[in-house]
Amino acid sequence: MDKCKKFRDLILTDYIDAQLDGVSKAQVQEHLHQCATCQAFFLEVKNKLIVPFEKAPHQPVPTHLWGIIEERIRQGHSRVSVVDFIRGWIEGITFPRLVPALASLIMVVFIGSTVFVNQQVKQAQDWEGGTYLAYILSSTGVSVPVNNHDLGTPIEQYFL
Amino acid sequence: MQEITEDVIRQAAQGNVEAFETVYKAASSFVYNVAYRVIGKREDAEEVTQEVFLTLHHKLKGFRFESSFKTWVYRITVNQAINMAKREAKTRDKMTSYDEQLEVPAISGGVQENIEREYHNKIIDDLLQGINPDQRSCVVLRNIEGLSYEEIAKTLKININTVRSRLKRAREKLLATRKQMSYGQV
Repeated sequence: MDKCKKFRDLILTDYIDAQLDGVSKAQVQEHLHQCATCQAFFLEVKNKLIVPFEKAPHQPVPTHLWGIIEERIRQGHSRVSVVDFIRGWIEGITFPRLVPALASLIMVVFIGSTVFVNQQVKQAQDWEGGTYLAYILSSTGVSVPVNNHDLGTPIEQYFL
Repeated sequence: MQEITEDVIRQAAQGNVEAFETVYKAASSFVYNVAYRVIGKREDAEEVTQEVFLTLHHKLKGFRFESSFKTWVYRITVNQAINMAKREAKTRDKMTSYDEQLEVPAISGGVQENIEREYHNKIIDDLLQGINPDQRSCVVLRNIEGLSYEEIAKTLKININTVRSRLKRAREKLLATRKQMSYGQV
């Protein structure tokens, strides 16, 4: 039986798949002639496991498949083109012809913003300075007008 | 898989879409059929076929012809198909009964050829779904695509004795399954 087990293992793999060398193949065939049980096993394996696979048809490849693959390949290329486009746009900014125009624009914006900010600061300082001085003087009892238009009203004259 | 010349592969690697279409025509039947037999579903086989050819297109520039182009295609195909089959196995409805999987319509003698082909097709589908994806890929490459043990070993990057043992275990299980099937001998 051990001998049959060994041959059955070969029948199930190398023998049925024609992977044995001439000597080993002859040994298996000789055993099959002598052993009816192994002969039946061989026929069972062949008819139930090998023949159905041989008779099973190859599935036709769906005809639309290449179109999808081709489209996906082209989409892949177009994605690269978008990246290239963005890279080119960034490179275009530093292109020598655009540098003077860009520098002029930056200068105009800088000067304009500087003038505007200075005006705003000056206005703020004028108001804050006058208010603060009036507060200091009022607390010391000295009345010095911050602006001339603060004097001369009836109510101010009454308190002073 | 049909033969593809080195010149065509080089042109395809340089971005020639027509050359790549030639590669597709030569290899698509193998890729689709292996994917279909390993996974068992046409929609998934289509998806795997797409992914295989996009992978080929993407990696073709790096192919150095140090190994066989065929073996390279086989490997990409089988790996993607096994991965898909394993993902499918995880999500498959566990409630599908074993008897449902084995159900094959009975046929009488004198059937039309196309009905007989469909019958064999169904048997193969049912048999293959009863073994794991690693065993299934060995059976498909050997029984359907006709690769030798050595070619299967190279494709799957495994020892030739591992190929032998996977085939043996797979066939033992397939034989037991066939005995359980209610229909007669083929």
